[in-house]
Amino acid sequence: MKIYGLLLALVALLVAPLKAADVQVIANPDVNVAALSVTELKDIFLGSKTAVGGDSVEPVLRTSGPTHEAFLQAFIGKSDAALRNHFKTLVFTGKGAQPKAFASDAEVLKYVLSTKGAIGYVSASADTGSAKKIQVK
Amino acid sequence: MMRVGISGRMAAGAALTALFLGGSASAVKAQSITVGGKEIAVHGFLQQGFNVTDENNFLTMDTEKGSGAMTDAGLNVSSNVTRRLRLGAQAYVRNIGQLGNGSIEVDWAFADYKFADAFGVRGGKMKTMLGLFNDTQDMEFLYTWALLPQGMYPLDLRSVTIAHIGADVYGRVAMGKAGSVAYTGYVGKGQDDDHGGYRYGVQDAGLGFRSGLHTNGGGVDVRWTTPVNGLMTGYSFTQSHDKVDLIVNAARLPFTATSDPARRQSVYGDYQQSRLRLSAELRREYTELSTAPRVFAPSQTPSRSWFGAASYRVHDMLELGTYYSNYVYNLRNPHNLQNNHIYDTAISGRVDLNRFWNVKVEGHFLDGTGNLTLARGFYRRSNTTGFNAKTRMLVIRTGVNF
Repeated sequence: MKIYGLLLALVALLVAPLKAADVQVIANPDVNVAALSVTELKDIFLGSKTAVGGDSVEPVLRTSGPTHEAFLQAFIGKSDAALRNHFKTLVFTGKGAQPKAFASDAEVLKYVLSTKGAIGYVSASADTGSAKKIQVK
Repeated sequence: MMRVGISGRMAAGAALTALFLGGSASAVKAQSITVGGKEIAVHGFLQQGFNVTDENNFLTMDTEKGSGAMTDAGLNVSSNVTRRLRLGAQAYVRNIGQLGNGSIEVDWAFADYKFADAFGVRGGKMKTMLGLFNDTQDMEFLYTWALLPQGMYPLDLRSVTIAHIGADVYGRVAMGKAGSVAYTGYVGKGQDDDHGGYRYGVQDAGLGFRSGLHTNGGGVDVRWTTPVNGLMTGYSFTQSHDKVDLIVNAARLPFTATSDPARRQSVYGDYQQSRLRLSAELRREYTELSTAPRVFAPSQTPSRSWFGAASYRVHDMLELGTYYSNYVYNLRNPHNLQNNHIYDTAISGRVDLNRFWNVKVEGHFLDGTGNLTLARGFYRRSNTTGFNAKTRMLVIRTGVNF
């Protein structure tokens, strides 16, 4: 029993470090929704859902880092390498484009605020200014 | 003369690779240009391989001595012209042994109009969805493997299997908690390849071409992203009518060969979770071949291929994997005949030097040569002293993409 307890604790430790609370999902103020399901968010960021509430949406990524990893783990269910391969498949078969990606929260925020339909994510501690905060259900 | 030619192309390939690798860092940054206010994305890849075998020359290369005549590259441009309309095209070139010969071809070029996520249409030349990897079979950077299972995705036949000219309908339907289903249906013409394995294999049998290969057909692919996170499964079906005018060289006897139908069905599954990836596919093919005048007896050939693959990323830079593939050319003949099967066990290691550049080292343990006219790597012209039943092969392959 002790061994099982230790294993469970180890699994919990491995899973715990990156979670949804570490990121906040933001959108251009024109985006016509206040909340998205995890499935909808995943579909938007994999490029398979291109409209929300009748309006086009555009996903915006962080290039790397803890916020990016937390977002992928909490909502997308793919590693960074798997996500890159997903977009390379689209790009090299001609069926889709690689989303914009930025190195910092500030760059993501700037693009989201200036681009109609843009949806991105920043760290939980980032000041999101006038961007719309999207609740993920 | 042949060796001089190969060396020349090898040198050209190596020079191109060096140029591309040297320029990759700056190329990675230059992924788009803006023309008339529209952003045009530019992407490319280049791959270079080295093969050595202990027995049997493979893929028309002089692999028993070691060969680096394995280079291919692609460059594409694409743009979202409007919210719904997308245009793009890709050029592709390759030199693999005696195949490709560096001729540049339009790999895909099409207009894509998406009415909604559930329904869109494409027109032009599109990659053909068949099984897990048909449309992406030449993108080594997507895989752990240096070579995909060659019984199912033979490099030799790339150009005649990878794309069609015609129309697609496609879409994706969300089903709530049941996941989603993506579909693609197509009708169109296949493409011939003057420099491909299909012609090379037919010529190996003492036949000459009086016309190109004419292929008309269609197909459908349906793939279900299941509620189980990371699990996708699907089914593909294609059927075509193929016709080509040939001549028996020795007898100067012309004839027309027709495959009607040439049918393929695939069931497949792919599971990706964290660092683990498991993939499997089973394919059945059925071909009815006839000739007019009746130079050869009509034949019906049911074929089967399958593979199972597993890979694991043990480090951000290192991925290890293995697969077993099994191909039987004619299920009605004894499977254990050397020229009726290819079984392949592969063990692979992939090192990602950065996001854009990888190096792979892969060992293959091949059993059998398959039917020698059907382009699965083994050709008489490359093996004039005959074949051995088993081949051990080392493949080193590197690739960059941006």
